[in-house]
Amino acid sequence: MQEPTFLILTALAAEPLHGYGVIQSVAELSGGDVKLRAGTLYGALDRLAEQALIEVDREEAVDGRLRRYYKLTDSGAGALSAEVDRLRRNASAAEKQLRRRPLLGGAA
Amino acid sequence: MTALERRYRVLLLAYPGRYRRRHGREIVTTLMEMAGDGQTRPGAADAWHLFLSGLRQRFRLPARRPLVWVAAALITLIGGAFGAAAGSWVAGQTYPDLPGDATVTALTRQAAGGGDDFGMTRSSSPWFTDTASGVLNVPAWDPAAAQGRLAAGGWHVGAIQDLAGAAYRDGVDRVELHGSGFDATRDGLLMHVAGYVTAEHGTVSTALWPADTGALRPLMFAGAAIGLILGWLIAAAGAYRLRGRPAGRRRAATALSALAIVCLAAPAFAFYINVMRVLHASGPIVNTVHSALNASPYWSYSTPRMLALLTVAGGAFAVAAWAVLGRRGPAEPPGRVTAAG
Repeated sequence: MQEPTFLILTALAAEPLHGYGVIQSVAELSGGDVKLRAGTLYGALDRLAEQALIEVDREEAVDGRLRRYYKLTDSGAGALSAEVDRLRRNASAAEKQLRRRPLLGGAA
Repeated sequence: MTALERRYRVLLLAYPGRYRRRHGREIVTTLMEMAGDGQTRPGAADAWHLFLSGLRQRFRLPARRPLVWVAAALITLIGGAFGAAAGSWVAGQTYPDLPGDATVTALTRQAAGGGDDFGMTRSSSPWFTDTASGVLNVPAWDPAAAQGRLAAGGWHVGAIQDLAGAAYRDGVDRVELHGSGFDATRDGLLMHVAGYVTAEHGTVSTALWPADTGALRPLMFAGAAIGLILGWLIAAAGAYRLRGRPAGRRRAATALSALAIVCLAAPAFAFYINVMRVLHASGPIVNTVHSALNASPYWSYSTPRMLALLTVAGGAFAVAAWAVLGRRGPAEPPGRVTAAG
């Protein structure tokens, strides 16, 4: 799972969000590292909806403009959960390897 | 509608229509919410990114549909083949027409310097351009004198070359022949002149076809590239149209598409063989791709118009499949609409 996909699913895990809400949430979750553009966001949302990982929750008309809210499906929650487990395992393995790393340098 | 919104809507034209109908309004909402105060036009990077995202969307196929990927690959290959043939046909329009029967007769007599028992043939090949040829019986022939006569007629003549050939006496006994010949060009036509004279019998023959203008390869490659891209785009658009259709229409469109692919596969295969012949051509004769549709059997077991008929049938099935799919894709996804703000 690519990082933007992971972050979009994460953003939708807690509550349904509309497009701009997802962009803001992803920026916040990534500490400002990932700034989604609209083209990337809607490409990902379309693909995730095709895979039934997310679905449309509701629509709102705001000042004559359409806001569509998306939410995580049970299948999406399962996929996100599996990815979290995978990342946790990898992070744990990386930590162990780093602890085994011999200390270098010192003697001049 | 503000100027900024209008500009965003123009940029959204890069997206396929079905996608715009499904997501266009909410994308514009999001873009407007992301825009800074007083912004009147999209930033260059954002505009470029939106445009590229739209193009990428046009090339996307529905996820988790392996058969759609197989069909898209086949349709793309067929598109490339027919694109190469179309490019070849356009190049063919730059070639001069072959001369009429009277001119072929006159040219053969001019090359032979006399003779009798004139005969001529016109051939339509599935591999290269049409040719016209004439032949005369002659008691003797001087190729240098023939060169002189043709040069006086405005032909640019090439060097005389020794030729080897064979004839069959009474249709049984093989007789080795030695002759000579040369090529001559004028007004975009190439004429190959050959003479074989023995103590018993002599003939002078001419064969005419268009000289290579150099247009074929670039137009063939350009056509193939356009055909490959169009093939993929058609497959992608068709795959998305298929979604959301009633099961009966889906089955009918799928069956018609399969028939179209089956029919068009044979001419496409022949076109690709002709592309290879163009790329590996060594003689002066001009190989073409679209000539596979000529009224001449491409394979020994095929009928003269088999590939042309398969092309027409495949095209008809493809049009029917598209018609069954209908014009528009699925409407907006379901959602509870509420007023807010």
